[in-house]
Amino acid sequence: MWRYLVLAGLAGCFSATYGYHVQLAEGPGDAFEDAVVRAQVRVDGDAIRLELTNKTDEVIQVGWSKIRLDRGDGTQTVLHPASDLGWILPGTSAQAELVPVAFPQGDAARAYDRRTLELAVPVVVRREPSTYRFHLVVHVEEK
Amino acid sequence: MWKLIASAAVIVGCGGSPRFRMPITAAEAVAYDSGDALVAYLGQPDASAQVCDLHANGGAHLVRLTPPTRAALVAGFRDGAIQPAVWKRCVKTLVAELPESEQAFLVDAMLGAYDDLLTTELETDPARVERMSMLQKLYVGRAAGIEAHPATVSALLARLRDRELGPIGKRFVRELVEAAELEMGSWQGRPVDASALDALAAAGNELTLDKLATRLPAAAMRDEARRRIARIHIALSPFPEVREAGPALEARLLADGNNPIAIAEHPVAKAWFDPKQTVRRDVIVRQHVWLQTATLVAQDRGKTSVVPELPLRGALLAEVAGISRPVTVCAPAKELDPSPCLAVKDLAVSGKFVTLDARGAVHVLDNTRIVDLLPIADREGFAIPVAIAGKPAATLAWYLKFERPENLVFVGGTGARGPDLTVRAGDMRGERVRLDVNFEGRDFLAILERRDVAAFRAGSQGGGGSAGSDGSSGSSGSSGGECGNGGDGGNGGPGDDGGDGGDGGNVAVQLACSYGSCTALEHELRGAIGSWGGAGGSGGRGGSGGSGGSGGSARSATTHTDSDGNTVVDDPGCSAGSSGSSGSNGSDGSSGGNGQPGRVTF
Repeated sequence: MWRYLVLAGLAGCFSATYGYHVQLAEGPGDAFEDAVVRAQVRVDGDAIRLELTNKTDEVIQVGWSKIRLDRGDGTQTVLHPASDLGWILPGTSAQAELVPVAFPQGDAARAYDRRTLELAVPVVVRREPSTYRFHLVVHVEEK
Repeated sequence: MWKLIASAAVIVGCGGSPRFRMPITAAEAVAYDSGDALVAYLGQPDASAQVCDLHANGGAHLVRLTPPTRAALVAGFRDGAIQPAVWKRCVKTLVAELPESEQAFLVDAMLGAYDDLLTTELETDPARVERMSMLQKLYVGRAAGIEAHPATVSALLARLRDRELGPIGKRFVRELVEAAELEMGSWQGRPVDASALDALAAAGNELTLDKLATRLPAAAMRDEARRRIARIHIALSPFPEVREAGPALEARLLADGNNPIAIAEHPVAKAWFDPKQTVRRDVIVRQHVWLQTATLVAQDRGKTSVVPELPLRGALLAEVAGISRPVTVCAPAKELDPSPCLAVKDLAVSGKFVTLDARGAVHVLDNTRIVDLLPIADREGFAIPVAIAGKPAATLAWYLKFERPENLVFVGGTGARGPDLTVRAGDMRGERVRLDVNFEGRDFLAILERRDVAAFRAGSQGGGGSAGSDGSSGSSGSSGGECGNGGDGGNGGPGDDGGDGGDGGNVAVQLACSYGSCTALEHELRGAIGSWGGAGGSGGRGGSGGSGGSGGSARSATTHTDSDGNTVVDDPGCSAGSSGSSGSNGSDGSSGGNGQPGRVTF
């Protein structure tokens, strides 16, 4: 499923502005799901919205300060939730607004077209550390 | 006099801003003692922040942070020349080690960069956001007592108050203000007390607890926040012995920050490197044979950079008696990781080229003498053996390659005989060959991959003959007077003959093979080790003949009319003189004879 990011127009700076559409490569469907979590990822303005549902019978600890967005060009951005969400209790969901996220405009925007971004989310599940890696395929279109 | 070619220039001149031959090693960067060199080093992939450790025990590192270097370091980050991760480690190290007076200037400079980066450009510049995030994290997460000058902070806050910012910029400012509130003991408008900390711990709000543990004004409350973090970590530990350890472990964790095991009580059964967590690179040795020094660099997927540090935490695993899961090197104290772990003091790396720092990261010496490389050249790969509590535990081997060095050919002076040389050569493990050229009692060593031997040259060469000088030019002929002929030009002089090239010196080759017969090696070296005569000098060119003088000008006839009306010729005039002939060119000198090769004996 396509997720849409609508960027505010940047008057006077560029002749055109670009919108970013991202698709969760881990589909099918609009979410990733395994025996442990159900995850939905979308880009919204200056944040990535990550909804994580704990399907286990124990708390899940997310390394909220260690979430990384790998931009596929050798650069990484460390993201954190706009507010602290703590543990995810069994059967509950946490909706994280991961910030800060910027996408370029102008010529640099075209370089993002068809690029795959990786959102790495470290978690501790049943006391075992692991990392979920969500892949977001970017499509850029001129607005 | 013999001619030794020693080209050691590292700086390539480039206007006002120096550029460096890349990759630049930490040792080279430190030797320059300049901010530009430090930025050039840190700007490379795999650069190590150990260079910023003023008190590092081994490895090349700064010994002071001068104001220009400080300014370059911060500007290099602000402008994107240094990646945030390595810059953060560098600055954290410096801030922790600098005296208080200098510390404040470094924090001032960081806030200056913060001020520069916090603009509306953040909204569409991911790299700028990344740098801002790192600055924010460093400033907000700084240890208690590390401050900028108050005037710098108030000036920054005053400027930010009226600044037009987008959503991302405003978030940064909000977080900065939140941190300032924490420094006054308040969180979300309420004073922070033990019950607030308990509530955060019960919800697993480690992110907030971490901020409180860093920024609260009272040391006791910071410790209480740390205690809640420690409890969360203990409760979630995968080690049952940690979860069941009780208050003693909590106290130890708060005191030391981690949970090292006593090796005497938990002897190591086996240790290994986790391939998924271990940094892997190809080590490339670049020899500067005329200086007899070498630089170690690294290649990763075809790209050459400096040799990275190898963090043992996570990479080195050990099974130890009495612990339910494999352990690794202890985490930094700030992480409050209760996992049983290996203390760095119990680890050691052996070898002349590796050191272990206080964080448990291995560093490779990247500048050395070629002679010191002989032991590692005699191995297949670049081995990093690690010992735990004095006993060999595991060895990591990186691929090792010696780049083909510059030829070791000793050339005589102009027209002179090349030097007599003794070359000792031998085989090595890993398909390598060592050559040791002895010249006037000094050894010049080169290590070659066997496949490079055919293209390499070592030996003696006579000096090239001197070039003959050109002949003199003939003189120009004199110009003729009115009606007169010009004089002939003089002939050019002959060019001198070129000098003979010098003969090559004699070369005695001594072979010593440790890993089999020398027959094949001798066959290969016969093409590489030699003696060559110097080329004869070219003859001088004959001088050009002088040009003939130009003929004199013509004179017109003059007449007058007498009283009878007859025309009377006063002067019949004359025709112009002819030009003189040009002189002939001098003959070219003949080239000197080539020198003869000397005797090469195996």
